[in-house]
Amino acid sequence: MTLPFDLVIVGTAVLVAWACTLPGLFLVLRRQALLGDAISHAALPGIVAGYWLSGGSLASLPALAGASLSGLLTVGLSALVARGGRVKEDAALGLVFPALFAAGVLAVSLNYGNVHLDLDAVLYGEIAYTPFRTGWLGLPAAWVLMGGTLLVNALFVGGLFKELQLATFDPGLARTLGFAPRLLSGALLTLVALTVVAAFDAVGAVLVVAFLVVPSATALLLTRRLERALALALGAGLSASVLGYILALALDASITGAVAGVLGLQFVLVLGAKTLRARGGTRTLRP
Amino acid sequence: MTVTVPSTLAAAHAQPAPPLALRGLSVAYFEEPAVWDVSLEVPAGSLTAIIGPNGAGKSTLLGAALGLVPRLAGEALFFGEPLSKVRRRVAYVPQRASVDWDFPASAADVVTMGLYGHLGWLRRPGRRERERARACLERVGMADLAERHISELSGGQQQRVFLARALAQEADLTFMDEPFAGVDAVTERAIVDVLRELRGEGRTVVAVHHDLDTVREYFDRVVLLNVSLVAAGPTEMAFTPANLRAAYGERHGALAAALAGGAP
Amino acid sequence: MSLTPGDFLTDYTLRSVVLGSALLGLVAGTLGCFSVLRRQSLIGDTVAHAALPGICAAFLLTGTRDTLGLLVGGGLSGLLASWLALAILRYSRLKADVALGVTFSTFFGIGIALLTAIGQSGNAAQAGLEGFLFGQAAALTAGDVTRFAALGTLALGTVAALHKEFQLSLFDPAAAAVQGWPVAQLTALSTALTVLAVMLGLQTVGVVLMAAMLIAPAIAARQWTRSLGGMLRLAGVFGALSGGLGAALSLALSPEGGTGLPTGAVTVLTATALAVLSLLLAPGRGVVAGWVRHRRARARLRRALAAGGRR
Repeated sequence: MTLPFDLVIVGTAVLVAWACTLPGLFLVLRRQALLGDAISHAALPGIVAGYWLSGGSLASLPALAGASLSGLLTVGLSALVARGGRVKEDAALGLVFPALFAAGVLAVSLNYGNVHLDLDAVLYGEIAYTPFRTGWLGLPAAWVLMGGTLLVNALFVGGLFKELQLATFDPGLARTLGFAPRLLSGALLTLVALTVVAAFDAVGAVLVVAFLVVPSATALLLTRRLERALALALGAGLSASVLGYILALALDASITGAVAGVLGLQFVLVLGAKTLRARGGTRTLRP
Repeated sequence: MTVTVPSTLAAAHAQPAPPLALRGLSVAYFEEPAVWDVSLEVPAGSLTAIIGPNGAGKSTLLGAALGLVPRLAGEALFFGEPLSKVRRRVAYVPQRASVDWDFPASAADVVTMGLYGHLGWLRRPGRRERERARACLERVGMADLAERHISELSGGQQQRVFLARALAQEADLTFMDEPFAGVDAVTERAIVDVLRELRGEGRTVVAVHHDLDTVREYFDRVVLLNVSLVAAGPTEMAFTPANLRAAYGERHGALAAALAGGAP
Repeated sequence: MSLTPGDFLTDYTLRSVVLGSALLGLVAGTLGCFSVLRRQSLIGDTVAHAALPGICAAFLLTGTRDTLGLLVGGGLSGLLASWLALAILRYSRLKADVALGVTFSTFFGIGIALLTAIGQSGNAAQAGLEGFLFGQAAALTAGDVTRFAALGTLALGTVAALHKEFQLSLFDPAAAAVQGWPVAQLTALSTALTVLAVMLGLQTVGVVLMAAMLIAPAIAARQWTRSLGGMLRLAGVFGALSGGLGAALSLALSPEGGTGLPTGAVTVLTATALAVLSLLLAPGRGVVAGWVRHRRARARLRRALAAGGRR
């Protein structure tokens, strides 16, 4: 079965967008928007270790597992550094993820100086190649991988929506009611790490980080209801995928870059419109 | 729905365990003790104020009892059981500053969160929960503002949302951390009315309180704390100039004692 | 390549690389203190990523790989990004992490699109541009060092001259504003200086690792001192040490016949090691000292409790 290129590429982008947006909204609300960036960089040593274990394959299960583990290591280590209040959380994250990334760069240059382990391919993966790789049932491999990730994320966020909402808004109450907020946030971050790594292969780190943050940020400008914010964020991801692809074709530019650009543009337009309206119209009084 | 549980039956025949019993509760932040060897009991159907100077460990005592702050030593029993067994019977109203009021939620959403404990894992709130949340908002005089976003509420209204959330929990024991801090007169009145309703229903409230002026009027019991326990008991017996002087120190104690209505 | 310490003094290229890296470390370490203290540590990461479209645009406009021209382009787009992030904070209720995240992923995405476009155009000089992603200290020339020294002196001189003003606007912006200091302008100035530091650092450590060069020395320095002046000076020293040592190590440890260890990675790992050692071992604020004190205190308190004594 051969699907049209356009459909495969846009479909992959939408699947990645939705898989990222589901946990991404909660990251944004928990003030951990930059965690996606950190995890995506810190995954490198894990990818290298998996590459070594699997005997030289990038898109392999060991590489995926290694990357997720080093993503989680970032979260754990920066929490450890921030404990006791010596270092603020943002600084702790900024200490940990470059160090892990540097270790990965070093490992690559020491062991694979002459082998083809293209850093650019890992970090800036190319969505334009997705139509050429087919997987299960002849479907595009990226669809299978990202569809599966989306399904897992949808089950998690859909099933535990009320628990995630409570643990994000008021962890203290979540704890007294017995909802184990720490376990929940651990599970959320695990899913973020898995999603980031799964999406690497298809679209590269840039777009993953953009999808984790920008659609949710745009949606939160537009609504003050959590359910509506989720729906709007999914819509923003969809429209940016389609418009970005059309733009990339028109300008003959990188699809990844164009989609990220459209995401940013959508955000700026919404923010601008909101600011103008607040200035022009009647100002609502705020306490 | 009647479920007969032998242990509760046995407990009913014996002396009923008090809603809250602290035994030797101690907390230390770094090297300094914040709460030192506090033992006390709070009887059912009472309104108890925890008072004491700044840094006396009032909020820490609540946090340690609820397991939100690590303890150095001691235990806290709720209705004779550890908290994990009776979570549904205990509610906690934190200080307003403890949550992000920009979170996308309406007043009704926040109150509905109080019902999550009854729902348990996975089950989503439905129409019945919405209606109960609305009824609780009604009780604190906030029914009109149910769909308002929480950032658009005044400080007092936010405090009432928190109170309504605690009401939704239908707890037998409710902890409040400075419920009257920075609220308007309407809210203060509404909170006091609700506290009395709760007492009328045989429920128990323990609140950290700052305003010594209103202790006699609002609360029937006090816990006087200054890291260690200074006094605990019915207001007329424990809220005395001598105890206040002991809790607040000689200089501020004189002022406090004057406020309490005794001779300095 | 096996090197003796003497080589670093005599070899012209080696000296440029080590000296240049140390200089960049000094400037980044000092200026990083401001963003760490303002709890916007990752603004360096944002600016570094956001510089990419500017670098590409400058290349497309000038058609040459002149470092200074590219860095001016990068600096302009970095400034634009940080200005945009500040505007998002001002005009919406979104938090700082979201503002930074939105800005940098968009700018970087556009940068990648431009980079791809340059790559497709088959321009031979474009190979050098990717050096900015991961750093290329080996390409530092004596001319670069001189130019960076001048820019670095300008940045550090500004910090020294406005020390008191920066301190006040950092610690208590409201009080500074009431006293009539132009707080917004001071913040903008220190952000501009950070952008300058990032542009200088891109040359050696690259986009991704730049964050660490701003953050790690500041974290390390904070462990040893209580004053802002002390922290700024010490962070500068730690930054210079990481830069110089990292460059020297990467050159000295390169495997025989290999292309050389990436300077950026070694530099960042050196800076991180300094930070971790400081976090663990510094007297007073160090983890080990704190742990010992904590254990002793708890044991003492428990004994006092057991003895039934009042504290």
